[in-house]
Amino acid sequence: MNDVPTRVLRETLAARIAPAPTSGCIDADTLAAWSDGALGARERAAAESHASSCARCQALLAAMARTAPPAPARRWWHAPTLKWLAPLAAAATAVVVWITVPRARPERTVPAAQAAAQASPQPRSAPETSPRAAAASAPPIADARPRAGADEQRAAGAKDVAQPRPRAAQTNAAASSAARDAAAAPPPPARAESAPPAAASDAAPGTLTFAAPPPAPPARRIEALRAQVLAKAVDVPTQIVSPNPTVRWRLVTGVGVERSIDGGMTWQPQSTGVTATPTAGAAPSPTICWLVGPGGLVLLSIEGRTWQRVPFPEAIDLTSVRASDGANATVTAADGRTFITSDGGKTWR
Amino acid sequence: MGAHSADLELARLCADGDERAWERFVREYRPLLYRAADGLDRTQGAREIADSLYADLYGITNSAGDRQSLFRYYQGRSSLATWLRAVLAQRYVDRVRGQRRVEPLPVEEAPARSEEPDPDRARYVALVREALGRAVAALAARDRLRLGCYYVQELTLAETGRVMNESEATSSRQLARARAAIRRDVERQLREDARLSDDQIAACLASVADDPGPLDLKQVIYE
Repeated sequence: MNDVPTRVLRETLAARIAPAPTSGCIDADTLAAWSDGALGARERAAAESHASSCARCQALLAAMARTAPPAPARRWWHAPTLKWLAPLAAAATAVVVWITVPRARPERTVPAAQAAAQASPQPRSAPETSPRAAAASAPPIADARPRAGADEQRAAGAKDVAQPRPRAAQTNAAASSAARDAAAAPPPPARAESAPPAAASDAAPGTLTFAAPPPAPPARRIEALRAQVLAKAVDVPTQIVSPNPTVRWRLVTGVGVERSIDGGMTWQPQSTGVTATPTAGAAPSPTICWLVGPGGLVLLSIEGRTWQRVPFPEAIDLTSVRASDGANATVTAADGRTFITSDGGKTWR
Repeated sequence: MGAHSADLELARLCADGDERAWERFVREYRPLLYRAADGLDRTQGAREIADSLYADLYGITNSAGDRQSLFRYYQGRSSLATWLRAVLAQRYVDRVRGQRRVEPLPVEEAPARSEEPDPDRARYVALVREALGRAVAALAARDRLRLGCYYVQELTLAETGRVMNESEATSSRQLARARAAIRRDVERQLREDARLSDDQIAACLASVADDPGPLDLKQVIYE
């Protein structure tokens, strides 16, 4: 069954609001106490009851909400994305280790002393140096990069759930994290890397043998795996979710712009009048959506269904957009510059 | 009251014309007021209201020698910062409403209809609008206020939650619940009162979705 159209609901709600101030209107003192949570239950209920049918008081409450200082930034270790990042990174690490390590594992083990006796002149130094050397070379990357990646994720997620980067970045971060973790892990025994297959198979019984040819260098395998993961991530269409999650848009490469009014269950294609596919967008309300793309492409819809191209001063690739309404938007170009409009794109500064 | 005693003292000193207190007030609260003004109007159009607020806060001395300052109205029920935001919001809203009152109404063009009018369409639209009006009226005042904040005032979920003193997630859930309740009530009224079938009810809702209606009733209402 169809839902009641939002526009009609909005009109019905507005029609029930008394346009002129009435005797019970909220004064500044009560408004401030409301905002600070200092009203008693009875007074609060009375104020809510009045405001539910008074245009001026609703506008006052809305204005008050808009003047509120921004919430304090959440510490990066409290970011919700990190709750997912840790298990994701662990899972990716496990996959990479599972792929790389088992093939290098010896078919059967030998006593340590025997292995030491048969090993090359560096057997003693190898166990000492390999893991630690890898670990020693890893810290600058292993320590710094995951945190930077997490910060990027958090920042992107906090700015706009609709930006295309977070999903790719999340996968990217997981793959990178896995790669880094694998790089920091102890490498296979020295013989696995140095001895050719023939030499291994020719080895005397009781020595280290391998069931399969030595694997490709881990770095290349990990890079290939990372590329596969990224390729899948890139195929995911970018979604732009409005404040009302049932209304959203998605940007499908080669197809264009599609809109859903049922939370993404069904999608309707929309004509934008341009051939290029936008790459990012922002929807500050269920009816207003900004899209940006290559060559200075800026599109704006103010009623959610039709699109108009907004003139942009430079034919530069645009990578992201933030918008608060149909007039105010900040666009970021590929070279990092930002362009701001406060008149719906008529002028940029 | 005790929680804001320092604010009350600062307000009292400023109202009495204490220059050092006034300097401290300006130094500490000017950035806050400007941030709040920019939150209301990103083009900095509300900053002049913030500036004019200073004059009223500073006060004037009348012929009897009494100093009249806006600070006298601060009761300490909230923090001074919140109270200042409330006064600013009040002045801004009243100014916007005053300006809208004198602006001419836009000329509305009749919507172009390429198709032949459906004889049932007008009746369906009227039925849904009546049912919707009754369904909204039947909601609790708190639910109506939440819907008004979100759909009429176009606040974000986070801002709506701030007004309703609840989390963003709770606002989202409550909005969805209210919408579902409205839809159920509209369908019930159409089925039981207007004796419509499921197909007719679907046609009703489709009609009202296509109906341009009084497109910006909100603007008219606010006149």
